[in-house]
Amino acid sequence: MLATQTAEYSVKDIVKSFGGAKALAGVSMSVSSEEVHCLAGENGSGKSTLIKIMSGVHAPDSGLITLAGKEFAHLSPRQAVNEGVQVIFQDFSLLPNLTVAENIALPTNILKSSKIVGKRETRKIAEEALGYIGVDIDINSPLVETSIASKQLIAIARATNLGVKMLFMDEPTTALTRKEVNKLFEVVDQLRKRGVAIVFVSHKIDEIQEICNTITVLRNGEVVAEGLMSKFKAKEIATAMTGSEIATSRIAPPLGKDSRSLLELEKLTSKNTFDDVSFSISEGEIIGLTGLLGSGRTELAEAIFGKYPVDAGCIKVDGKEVTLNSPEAALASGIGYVPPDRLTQGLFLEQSILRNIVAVGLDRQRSRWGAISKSKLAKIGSSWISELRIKTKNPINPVSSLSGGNQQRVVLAKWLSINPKVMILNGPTVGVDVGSKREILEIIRDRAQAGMAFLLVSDDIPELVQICHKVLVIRHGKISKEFNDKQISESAIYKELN
Amino acid sequence: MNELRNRFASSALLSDRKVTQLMGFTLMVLLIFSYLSSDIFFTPENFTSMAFQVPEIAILSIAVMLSMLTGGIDLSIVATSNLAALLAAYILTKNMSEDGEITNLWILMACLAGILLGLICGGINALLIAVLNITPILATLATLTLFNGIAIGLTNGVSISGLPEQFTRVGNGTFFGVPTPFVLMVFIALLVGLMINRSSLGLKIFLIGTNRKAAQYSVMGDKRVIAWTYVISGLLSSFAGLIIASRMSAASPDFGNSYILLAIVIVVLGGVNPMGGFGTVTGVVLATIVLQMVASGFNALRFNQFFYLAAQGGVLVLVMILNVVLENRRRSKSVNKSLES
Repeated sequence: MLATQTAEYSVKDIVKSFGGAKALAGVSMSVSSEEVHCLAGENGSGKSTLIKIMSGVHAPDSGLITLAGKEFAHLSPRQAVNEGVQVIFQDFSLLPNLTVAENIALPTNILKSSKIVGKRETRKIAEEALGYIGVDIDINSPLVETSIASKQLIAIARATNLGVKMLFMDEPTTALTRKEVNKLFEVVDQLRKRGVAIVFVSHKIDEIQEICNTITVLRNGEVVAEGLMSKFKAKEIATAMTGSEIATSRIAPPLGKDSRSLLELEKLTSKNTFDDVSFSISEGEIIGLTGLLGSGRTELAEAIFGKYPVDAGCIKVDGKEVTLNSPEAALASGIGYVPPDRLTQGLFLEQSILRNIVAVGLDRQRSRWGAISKSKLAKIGSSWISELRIKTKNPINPVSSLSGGNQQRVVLAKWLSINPKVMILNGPTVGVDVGSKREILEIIRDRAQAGMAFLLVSDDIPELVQICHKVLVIRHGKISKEFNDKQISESAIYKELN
Repeated sequence: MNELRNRFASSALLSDRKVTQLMGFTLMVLLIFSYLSSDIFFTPENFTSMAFQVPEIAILSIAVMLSMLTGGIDLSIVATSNLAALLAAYILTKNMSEDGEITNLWILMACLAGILLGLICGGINALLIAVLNITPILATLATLTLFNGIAIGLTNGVSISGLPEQFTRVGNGTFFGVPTPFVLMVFIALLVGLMINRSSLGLKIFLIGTNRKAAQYSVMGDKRVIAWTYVISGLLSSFAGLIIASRMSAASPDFGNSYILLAIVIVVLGGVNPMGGFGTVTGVVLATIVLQMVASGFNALRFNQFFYLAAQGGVLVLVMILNVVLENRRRSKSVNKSLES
């Protein structure tokens, strides 16, 4: 099924341009079997282009691809698969309405050109593949009902079935909890021991250090650092990626002594999701909320935004008790919410950056007769574009033309533009590169200093440690632990989570 | 910041490239038919006749455009317009004297009743689609049958004709030489254009049509906005119905059945994205004019009517292919651009 002796998979001096812009300017990288190689770099550094060249999606302008001794000037996708190159993309490219077994066996059946597919055969293929990577998932359940972590493992199983010799994993841990990451790492390690060359693409430096043996860092289409993982310190990797030093220590903005409390939850309860949750956030305070997937953290955040039903308890905004049974009510009380999925919940992708920024505040811009002045909207849009340093040539461009970090800033601008008292941020830095992340955290800090109260729901523990005054851990719908200013540390929070 | 604003202003003009394309297309069609048949097509009489025929279908198309901008569709426009026209015609004929005289008050009452009925029909669609969450195409297919059935049932399928001259004067008259219906259409198109581009309701329509879920997370009152589009669609349909009744001096329960498909053709031809989120009133009006010119041109050239239908379809197929090709080119360009930046 897999390669048995050490093999080299490499690219040499790869150049690739798109319409005059160089995405890759002579990149070389080498990965051998039984090795987990980290490919790091910010968005737009050329990681995706490199993956696409090695998997046959793009043909390079020049350069050489060598797969286990065979040399190619360029690959077709079919050739890449035949040579054992597999990619697990962030969206997994699985089929939601098929069962787990069908998803795993489908590509195998297609490659064999089977016209008729037997259920028993399908199940056998799936069971073997899952057994091979040592994972236990109900193969008969429909894919939609499986967790993101399981989908990740199912995608790996599917790849092993196709005789994978080199596996690209594109930010595989983005949506996983620490526990699930541990399981994933076990599987990755097992694949490595069985002779698969693995390329692990990630932004998360602590995870890279944990799982990878070697590293290549790209910046602006060039290799800026490479070598054995053990030679690099976390800070050096971050510096290589961004080209500048990044502070990782705690910098929570100072709190006023007698700041009033802006949001108070008292024994907030929603049947079967969260129970007896009480906490308060005062002016300028940033409170972190973390928990595993399914712990009730997103439901709690959406309940405060009026999007999830509450059965008991009460919410006070700025001292007044409010009924938040709809987002309209939440908005009227001064609560804003940045949802977790930027692409489907946060943005109007094909619409202009400008229209996205003014989306929430539209009604407030109405003059008499209900008219809206275009120049006024343009003014508001441009002022937020410069305020949050959104990188764009023209605010009329569709928001889909922006990079992930800039898109997230547009979502932030949309809410900041109406100046809410309380901002709830759900995973504001997911899928955002290191540099953008730092700037987004800075924006949050600045606003907090100006008096806005923040609830930061996140999986990213280092980020919580960096800017929160207090971190709450939610478990099975209950606040299981509260870390105060002095108690906050990554290790303590990880320990509480697992 | 000033620089940013200027860029915004200049590119806002360029962004309606589809309208520019359509204008070119309109001019091309005009030139071709004028060349081929200058004696019949390129005459004041023919242009006047076209200006009488364009408004009703243009207004119906604008109604369809509104629902399509939110990602829905309104198939009940023609049924609504016929129902409104019948009610107005009924009131008019009941209250006129034997020699066809009627007071202006009754004319006003008849028109208001028709408009009110249009609002009610639109309200029913709004209820089904926005409140009960029924898929627009199914909900309006059902109301299309319902309204049509009511119209046929109440009239036994017979049209109401012989409307008072004071009423039909509007639909057949001119205003400074321009057919009155055309003036009304321009007025309505301007109002709708202002509404979708310069009001919060209008901007919300575009955003909701682009991503309903994001609209919900942006607290736009998406249900209220969608409800309004169907109510306005009903209102516009009733306007069209009144204009038709006035021009034809009659109202019929089965008038213009082919108008539903024609309106959809026009809306798509006019550059409205069938998935929602993008489109202009100018585009829709221009598309109506193009199709009307093709129809008149074929008439002038004494081409077979059946052949005309094929030509209409052919135009649509061509435009859709062009749309796809241009869209692909634009997309690959913008990908390259975003890589550069």
